[in-house]
Amino acid sequence: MTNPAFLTATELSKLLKEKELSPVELTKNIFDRINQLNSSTKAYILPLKDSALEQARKAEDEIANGKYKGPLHGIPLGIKDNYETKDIETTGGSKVFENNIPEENAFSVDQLLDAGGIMIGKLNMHPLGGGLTGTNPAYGDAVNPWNTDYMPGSSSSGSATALGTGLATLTTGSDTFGSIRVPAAMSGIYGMKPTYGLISSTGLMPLAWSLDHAGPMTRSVADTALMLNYMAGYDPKDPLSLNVSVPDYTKDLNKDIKGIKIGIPTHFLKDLDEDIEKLFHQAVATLQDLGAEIKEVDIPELSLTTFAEYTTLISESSAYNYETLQEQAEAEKYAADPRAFFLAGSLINAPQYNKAQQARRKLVKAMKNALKDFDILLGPTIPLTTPPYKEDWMAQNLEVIRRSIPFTGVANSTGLPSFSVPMGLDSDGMPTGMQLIGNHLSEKLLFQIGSAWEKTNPLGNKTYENLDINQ
Amino acid sequence: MVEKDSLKQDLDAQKLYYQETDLRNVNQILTDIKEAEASLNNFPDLKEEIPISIYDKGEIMDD
Repeated sequence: MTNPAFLTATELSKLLKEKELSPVELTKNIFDRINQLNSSTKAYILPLKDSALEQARKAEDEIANGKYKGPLHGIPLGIKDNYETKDIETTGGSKVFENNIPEENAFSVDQLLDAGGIMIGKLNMHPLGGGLTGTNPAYGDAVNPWNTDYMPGSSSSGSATALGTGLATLTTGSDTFGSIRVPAAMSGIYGMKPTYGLISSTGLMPLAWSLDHAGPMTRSVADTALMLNYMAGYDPKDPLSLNVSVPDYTKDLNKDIKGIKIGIPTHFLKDLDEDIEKLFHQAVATLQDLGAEIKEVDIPELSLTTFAEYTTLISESSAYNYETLQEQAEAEKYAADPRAFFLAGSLINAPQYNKAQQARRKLVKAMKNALKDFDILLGPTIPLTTPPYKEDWMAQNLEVIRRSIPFTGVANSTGLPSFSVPMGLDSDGMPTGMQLIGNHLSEKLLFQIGSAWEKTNPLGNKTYENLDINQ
Repeated sequence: MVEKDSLKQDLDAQKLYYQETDLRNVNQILTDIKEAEASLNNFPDLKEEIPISIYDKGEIMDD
C-alpha cells in the first residue's frame, strides 16, 4: 500500500473527504519524514510543525462537522521561501533577508490556505532565485531525489526535492528564467509556468518584475491543474494581474489528443545532449501514436531569446538590489551567484535594455504567429541531462544557465504558458523533461495534452516512493 | 572578454561592493550576453519595435 506521503492531492482528497484519512495523521506522517530526511535533503529552510498541526486539527474538525471546503482541504503544502508568509520569516533563501517577517501572506498563499491547505513549511531555493542548480551556501544544497549526488534543478530546488521525497504533496514555485521548469525536468516532476499575470505577484519577492511568474509544482498533471485552480485569479492590488475568468483546469484531462497540431521549433533541436535528443525523438513518436499531428517549424526570432531574457533578467534584478549592493555589510551576505547577476546587471546600458525589450516584442509576435498554425509548440525543457554537483558550483551554475536560457527564456520573455512534464530517464537513470508551450491562457489545453502524455508512463516503473532515498 | 581593470573601474564608479572572485563571474555573464547580442544583427528592423513596458492597465482604464 502506498504511503500517504506519496499519494497525489487528487487521491488524498477523496480519502480526507470520506474521513478515511485524518489530516492530523497525514501531517504527522509528513513531519516524521521531515525529521528523518530534511537534514540530508535540505528541502525545507523552515519546517513549521506547530502551526501545521494546528491547521490540520482545524481541518479535521471542519471536515468532521460537514464543512468540507474542497479538494485542497487538509492537503500538505510546501511554500517556496520567496512567497511572503504572515509573521513567518521569508528569506528568499538568502541571509540578506534573514529576519524579514512579512505582515501579510502573498495573495496566492492566502488562496491556497483559504482552500484548506496545510502549510508544512518554507522551502529551500537558490538564493534570491539567482541560479538553476540548487546550491545554497546559507541553507545547504538541496539534493535530487533520484540521486543525491546530482543537482535537483533550481531555483525552486526545495519544491522539487520535497515532492520527490514525500515531504509535501503540493509545492509552490516561481519561474523567472526556468525556475519551475528546470527543477521539474531534473527531478522528474510536473511544473507549470502559467501565462504572465494569471497568478498574482503580490507578496512574491521580486527577481525581475517583467519575467517573474508564480506557479504550481506537483507529482501529477491532475494535481498541477488542481493547484492552478486555486492559485490563479484576479488581484486588484497587483497592476500586472489579469482580470480573466479562471476555468476549471481539471476538466478535459481525459480527452484524447487526436488531431492536435504540435509544432517543434527547430531552435529547440540545437545543442542537445545525446540522451535528450534520443528521448525527445521517442516522445514525439509516442505523441504521434496518440494521434497528434507533429511537424517542425523554423522561427528565426527564437535566436533573440538569450539576449532578450538574460539582459532583462540581470538589469531588473540589479535595479531591485542596487542600494543594498552599495552597503558592504549587507552586500557581503549575498551568495556569490546572485551578487554576480546584480553586479553584471549594473553594467548593462540603457540602449541594451531597451533593445532587449524590442527583441521581446519580436519574439512575442513570432511565437503568436507560429501558434496560428499549431495548437502548441514542443521542445525539451532544457538541452542537458541532469548533472552531478561539481566543486566549482559557481562556474557550473553559469554553464547550466547559458545552455538552458535559450529553451526556458522563451516563455518568460513572452509571457506564454509553459508546462514541463517528465520525458523519460537518461542513461544514468536521471529524469529529463519536455515543455509544452501554448498561447496565452491556454493552460487547460496544455494540461489536456500533458495528461495524455502522462498516461504513457514516461518514468516507467520508477515511482517516487521506491527511489533509494525513500527506502 | 571584458578587462578586469575596466570592470573594477565601472563597479567602483557606482560604489558597488564586490569581491575579487566576483569579477570572473561578472565577466562570464557579460561575455555570454555580448555573444547573444550578435543575434540582433539578423533583425535590422528591430528599431521599429516599441519596447514592452510595464504599465498599470487598471489606472489607464480608470482615466
